[in-house]
Amino acid sequence: MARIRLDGVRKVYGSQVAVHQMDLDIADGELLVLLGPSGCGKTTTMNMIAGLTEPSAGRITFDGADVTSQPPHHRNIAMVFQSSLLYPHLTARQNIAMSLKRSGLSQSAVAERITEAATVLDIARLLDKMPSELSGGERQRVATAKAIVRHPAAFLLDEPLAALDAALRLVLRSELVNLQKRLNTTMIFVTHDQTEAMTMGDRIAVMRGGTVQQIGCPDDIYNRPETLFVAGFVGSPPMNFFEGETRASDGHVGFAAGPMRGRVPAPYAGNKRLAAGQPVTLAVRPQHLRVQQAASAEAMPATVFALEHLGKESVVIFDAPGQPAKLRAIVEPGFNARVGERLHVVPDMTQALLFDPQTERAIPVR
Amino acid sequence: MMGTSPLARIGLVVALVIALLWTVLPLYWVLKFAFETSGEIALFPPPLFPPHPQPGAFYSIFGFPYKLASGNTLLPSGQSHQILLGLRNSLIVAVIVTAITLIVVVPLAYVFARLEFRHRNKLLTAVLLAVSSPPVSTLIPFYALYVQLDLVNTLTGLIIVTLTITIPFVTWMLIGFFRNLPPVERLARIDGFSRVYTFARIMVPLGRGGIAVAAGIAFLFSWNEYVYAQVLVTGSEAVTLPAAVSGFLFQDPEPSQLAASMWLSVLPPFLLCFFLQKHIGEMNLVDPVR
Repeated sequence: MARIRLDGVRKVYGSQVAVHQMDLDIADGELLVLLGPSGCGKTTTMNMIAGLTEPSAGRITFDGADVTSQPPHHRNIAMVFQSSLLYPHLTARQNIAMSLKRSGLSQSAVAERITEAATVLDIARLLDKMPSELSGGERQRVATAKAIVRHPAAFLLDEPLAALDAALRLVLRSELVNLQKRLNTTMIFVTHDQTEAMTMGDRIAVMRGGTVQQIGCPDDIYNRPETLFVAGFVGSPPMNFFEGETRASDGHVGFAAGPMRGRVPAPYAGNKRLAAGQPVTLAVRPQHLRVQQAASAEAMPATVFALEHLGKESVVIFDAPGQPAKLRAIVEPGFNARVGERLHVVPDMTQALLFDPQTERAIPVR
Repeated sequence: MMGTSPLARIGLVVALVIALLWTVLPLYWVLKFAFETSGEIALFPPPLFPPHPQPGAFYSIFGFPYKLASGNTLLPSGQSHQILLGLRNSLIVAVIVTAITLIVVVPLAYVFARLEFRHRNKLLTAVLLAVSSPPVSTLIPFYALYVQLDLVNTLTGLIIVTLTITIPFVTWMLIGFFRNLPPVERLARIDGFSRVYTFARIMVPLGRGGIAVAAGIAFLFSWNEYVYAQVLVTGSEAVTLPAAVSGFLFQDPEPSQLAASMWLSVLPPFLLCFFLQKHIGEMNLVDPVR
């Protein structure tokens, strides 16, 4: 068990900054997800926590002890790599045993630990198989057994489920969360899949370009995104953005985007700095976008680009004039529309958020 | 066979037959000579099979007389001493060359394939330059040098020269192979193993298929090497098999004995390739400079 802290950690490769000034505080027993697109520095961050990569600057502590220059083995961490990497020339049992080779445990203690880990992950019958004889899910379980057998202070998982098919991913991610909660061990999980992040994390750190954009619980990240990037990256289908500006309209602050007119969302009415004529981006989740046939003042005309039927609902994707991004609306499953058809969409202003397009940051409510 | 048109299948069969004839026919023809007498070899048109097959030539080249069915006796070949010496020397040179090549090349190829360091590509290009230069280009400098160092007509000299060919070539082969192994070094670091332990106890066992092929290739190069041997050791106590075999061309021509000794020299590489065949397919020959 460990509380892991990163203070001003930075990693530079030549002239390229992989991770800028990074501060993280991961509580003991917490499951933190590092979420971001490829190249955002999440794997580099994890490798620095593991000790595989030495930070260019900053300090990493485990339970207050400085481990910045300690090799991985001295940090008492366990790591599961992309595609659940195993030694291909060793059996599952030998793979798991490799984790304990440097532990100084007696042979009988090692055997006991392996049996224990194999029981927890239900892989006893796989122990004498070679990795090439295992399915993707079985490899993942063996890799996890290899991790827990060490009784580590923290688990570090680098996209272990990325190569698996969707159904299996669903099963394994709940198993991993269940295991982490039962063992109550700190876990850091790297992924680019926002669904995985939302479903697994106690907290999520959304990363982009080597910096943490926002860190918080899934509810915060989803409902109170602090940047346009977080708003657009988290949520499926993704959030809609209307680029427009504020308008003065008889005592209220109004919002205009193309032909669409509305009032700024109610919570923002108290923000005195929202002056008329200021460019703003209005962000609305697809479930808060209403589709209608008729034109109206608060509606944006939009052309149907595609229709996706998901069974319990459908998603209509629109092109709107003057808007660089596509718009998406969740509609009833029976919804019917032709591609190319002209419809109108109305954002639910009570649920909308405002962002400053210059700084890409959320505009505060007051 | 794949679901292709009959025409494509016929094409494939024809291509295979041509390829097989191309490689197997000369070998067969030489083998046929080995079981014939000089008179039978001179027949025109040549028979497809030896009219009276007998293994006399094989006795002769090993220095034994052989009594033919006709009552005549085939005498031991005058070259038998050279052939036996050549067989022994070729084996010594090939084994030592293979061993030294592996000791040098396995770590070298591993470092080039899996580690990042300054001037990596420049150094690699320097190592690989030797692959692209024809062996003959270094022959005269080596000869001049060896005269000074008293290494002409010695096995040591021949081993050194052969290593200059095998080391760069086998390095080039193994780099591609090592590069394709999964990144288990990270796993090993988490498990607490040193770099040296990781290399010796994890990467080498993991790459044993490729290393076996590398050993085979080094052995073949050394075994088949003719140009240097012809110049550096012919006619001496350090003669190798290819050089000894070529002796039949120049003194007391006896085609059946030449054929028999050629088969003697073909056999080890043939067996080696047969047993390594499975692993050769796993090799990944790619451009090692990246």
